[in-house]
Amino acid sequence: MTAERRKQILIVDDSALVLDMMRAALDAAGYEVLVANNLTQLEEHRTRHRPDLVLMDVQMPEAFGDDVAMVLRAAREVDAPIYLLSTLDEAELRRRAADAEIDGFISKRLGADAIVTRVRQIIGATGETP
Amino acid sequence: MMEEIRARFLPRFVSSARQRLERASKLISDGANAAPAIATDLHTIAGEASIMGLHEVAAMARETERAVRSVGGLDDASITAALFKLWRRIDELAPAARTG
Repeated sequence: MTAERRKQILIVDDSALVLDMMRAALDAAGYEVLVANNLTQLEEHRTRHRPDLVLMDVQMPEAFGDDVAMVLRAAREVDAPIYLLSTLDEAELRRRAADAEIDGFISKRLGADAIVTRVRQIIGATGETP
Repeated sequence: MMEEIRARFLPRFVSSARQRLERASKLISDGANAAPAIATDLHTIAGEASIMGLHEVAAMARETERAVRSVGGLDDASITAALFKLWRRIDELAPAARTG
């Protein structure tokens, strides 16, 4: 009997607290969570893993997350859906996601539980298709 | 899950937010041109508070961030007042953070 691979989510955020809270919430929901606190860590995870979903903060010290996401998508370096995860207002997130030609956005304002629900809608639970 | 997240991470949030607001206060009292740095800290506080469901704190941080970015200078008394109002609100969370 082989253990089923847990769906992997890569979260990029400069707040260690945000990363730890989201890791706790998503891990409890059955996902494997990879976290990147900066672009170097993002690059390490991107080359070593094939996440099923990437959640990207927008306002980070090194770069805007939507700019990074646009480069990753344009260069086809990430096949998985890429969503912005930010506390910016929804109109701005919608515009930034569209401009970056990525898959969408999730508002941090929803809170941890609703963010997990939204993730489940996007990629399904581990062991199922969305 | 939200309750578990809040119970587990509230002490870290309170400690981290206080440090950010102390830094903002020092920058203002030093007369530094620190609006971008303070706005970034407020944005981080808003994001962290949102995820743990502290919506009132998150809204206060977002509103203060907006004011800091739009005024363009930190000598506006309304910004100092907003920062201290947010600080007081976070201080009110401290007992809950201690009891978990």
